[in-house]
Amino acid sequence: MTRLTKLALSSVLVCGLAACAASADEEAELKTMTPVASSKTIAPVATVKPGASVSMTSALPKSMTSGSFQTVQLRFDEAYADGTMTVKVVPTAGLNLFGSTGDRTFNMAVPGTHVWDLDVKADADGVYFLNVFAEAQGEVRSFSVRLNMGVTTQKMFDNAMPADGDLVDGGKIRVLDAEETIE
Amino acid sequence: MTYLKTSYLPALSIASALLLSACGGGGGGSSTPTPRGDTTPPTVSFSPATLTVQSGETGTSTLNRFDAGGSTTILSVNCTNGGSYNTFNSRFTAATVSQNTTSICTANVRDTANNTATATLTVTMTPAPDDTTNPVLSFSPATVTVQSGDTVASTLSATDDVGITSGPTVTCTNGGSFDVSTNRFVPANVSTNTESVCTATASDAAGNTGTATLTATMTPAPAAMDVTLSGKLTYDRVPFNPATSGLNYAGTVRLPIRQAPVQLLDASGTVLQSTVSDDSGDYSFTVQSQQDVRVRVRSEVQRSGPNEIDMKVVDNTSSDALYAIQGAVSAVPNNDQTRNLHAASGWGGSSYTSTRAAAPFALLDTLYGTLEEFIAIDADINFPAFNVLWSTRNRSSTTINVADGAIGTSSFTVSNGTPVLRILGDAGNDTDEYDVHVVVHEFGHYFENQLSRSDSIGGQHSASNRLDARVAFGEGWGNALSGMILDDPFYRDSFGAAQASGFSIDVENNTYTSTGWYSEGSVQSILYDLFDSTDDGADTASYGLGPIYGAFTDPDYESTEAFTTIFAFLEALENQSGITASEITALTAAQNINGTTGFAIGETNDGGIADILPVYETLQTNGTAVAFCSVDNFGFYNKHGNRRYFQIEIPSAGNYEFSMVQTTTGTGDPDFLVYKDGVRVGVGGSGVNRTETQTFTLAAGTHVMEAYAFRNIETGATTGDICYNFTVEAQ
Repeated sequence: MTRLTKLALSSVLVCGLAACAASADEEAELKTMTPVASSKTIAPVATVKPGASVSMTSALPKSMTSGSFQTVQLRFDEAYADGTMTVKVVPTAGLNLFGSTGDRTFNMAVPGTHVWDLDVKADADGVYFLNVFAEAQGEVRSFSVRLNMGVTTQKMFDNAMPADGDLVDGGKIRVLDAEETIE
Repeated sequence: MTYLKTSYLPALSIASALLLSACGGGGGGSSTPTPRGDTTPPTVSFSPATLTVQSGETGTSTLNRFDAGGSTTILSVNCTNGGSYNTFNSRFTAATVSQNTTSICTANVRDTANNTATATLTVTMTPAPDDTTNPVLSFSPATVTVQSGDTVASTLSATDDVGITSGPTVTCTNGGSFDVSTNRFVPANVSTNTESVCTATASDAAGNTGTATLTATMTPAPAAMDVTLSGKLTYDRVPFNPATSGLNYAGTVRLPIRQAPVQLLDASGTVLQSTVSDDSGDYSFTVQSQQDVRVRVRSEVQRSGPNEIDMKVVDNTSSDALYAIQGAVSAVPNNDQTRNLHAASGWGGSSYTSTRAAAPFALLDTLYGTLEEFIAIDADINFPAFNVLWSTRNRSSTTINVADGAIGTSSFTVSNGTPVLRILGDAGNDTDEYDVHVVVHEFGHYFENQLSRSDSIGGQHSASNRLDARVAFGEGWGNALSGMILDDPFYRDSFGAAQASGFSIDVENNTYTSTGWYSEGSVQSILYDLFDSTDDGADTASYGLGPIYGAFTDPDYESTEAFTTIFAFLEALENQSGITASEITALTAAQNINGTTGFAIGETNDGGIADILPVYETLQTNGTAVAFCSVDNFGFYNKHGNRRYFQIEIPSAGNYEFSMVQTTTGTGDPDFLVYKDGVRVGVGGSGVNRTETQTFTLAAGTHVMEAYAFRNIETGATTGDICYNFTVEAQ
């Protein structure tokens, strides 16, 4: 069997399992890169860059409002038998942490999920992010948690996470400014 | 005056003096003895007593004073109708008048006995004569010859004895114009020699006007000609700070943009010509002059055989738009022109403050350099098309939405049939465009996926983890490859505020918490030692990349019946020419790896899970049950012990029932995946509690299988040690 044939067959099988969900690999959570109990979808494998073997999930209030405290729960699962995991949380501009210094350590000898409840507050509606850095045994894994405070718009996201350059040629090219010298 | 009055004078003077004294002084009279009986006023006069003085000018008239009793004091000199008299220099200064005006200046003088006298000076102030001097203008040179399309300099000067109040302005006959601000004549486009006279005009407040002329001979422009438009393309490369493994923006260097398509576009965006930059970043077009064009550089490498390359850096948050840099639209002159384009990092000192134009080209260059290393080994190698997805929005996320920039982390995957490297670009959190080891690591996965074979299941990993052997091999390969390609054994990854933090992994390190076939650290140590020429520890091998590449692309490896682990790789490596088996054995033994063949026959290192050996448990097809456990000792999803490997010899093509039954208490969801030669041919993933039974139609030959408790591979699930019996039975 040739290599191309093998790949094609493999794709058919995966597609069959995934019910040919076109957006499976775009919208699925990281955990659904593995089979899921209910649907048994097998999303494409993603090999991630080296770093601390820590995964994180977040639990957010159903609706977050600006001007008041909101509790964000960060849940860390690590793959270490012992040692200390240090987590640093840095909010983006306009978002403040309360009741916390933004740094916390967890004893990885304690089994199970490590949970950190953070109180955050933004004075204005908008899209904000919590930058989270988990360090374990000398390696780091970064995370970013998006927080939609109040009524948010695409423009607020664009402001929080701006894209560089301009789209031209019908959106096929994203042109970035160059420094040009003409002699 | 009477005597009576005279007799009272002393008394009055004394009283007056007392009165003045009581009032704080009375001027000179209080300190100068007053001559008794001096009633004669001083004699005062101007000489001459009349003057005629022009506006703004001065005239001299001496104020003569005499007093028989002593000195005199000038109390004041006041002039009517303007002008002023200066008693110190005896000069009268006329006011500015527009017609003859008489001003009378009256001097008041007092002697020491307080007798006063006055004198008058009559001054006729006349208007100043009219300004009749014209401003003076000139061109230098006053005659020029200039070609249509060019410009020529001529300095226009304008002066006036009083001052220019209007102009200079310049008008030209027969076309062309003179730019007063730049002192340059701009000719009209003419087809024959044409003389244009430009007249400059300026005036003063008195209405005097001056002119000058410039005679410009305008000659036709030569016909458009072929000229060379060339330049150098560069981008900013931000290196690491080795002390922190963070980025060192102060050490930024400019490197050439190599092998990138360069386009010449007209003002409307139509591509007029295309070329490719060379390895120095140089490009060149032969182009007709007198066109308005711009230069655009695309962030891709396209090459047809030999060594086909189709590599693009695109913005996944904008429908995979290709990144590019471009210059301004400007005219091509009638001579060769150089247009250099530079893609800057956008770093402003403490944060990014402008467009991060360098990022796509940094990624492109890192990968092109990597491709070159493989081409140097295999002159016939072709690289299947792949995309690099990068955006300033690409952030570390807990959910995946690639179009939104939520890419999880930098990774390799195949999306809709296209291999893609997703690279982080979220400043202040995690960016990887300059993290060259990260980029090469992910390329290593591309290489396995597209030019070799990988059975890795991906997922989180680190050098200190005990991993699924397929993950350990793939990730160890990626780390080692970054050291090989970049000639730097320290894998570095920057992150955090200002990208100033980071961590490193030394792939030359041979010591890990737990070494073995399940260790990414062991794999990278072995592979890098096979490559490098530095002998350390058990390392006496110095093979370079060639034999390693040969093993990966060995057909026996690509179609191995086993999973792609360190065992299958080493089996293929030993088939490569120039390999000394004892050198490999020394390296693997130092990492506690002692199984042989792709199926790890004889492996004795269980990695802390007593019943994990043999690495591949044998399953008969006669229904004989094999007991095994899926354990969570070292984590979940892709860790050592989560999934158990099986080898099954299918004696003949037909239907076979695979059954996995839980033997321990509690809930559980057994699942399994069956493969032949690396292709998945059967899936047991129904979600049924405690048991999973599937019947597959299989070809004859060796199959492998992984079996696991689903709860040990799912993020957030309650993991545990769950045991099963597995049977396979021909139907």
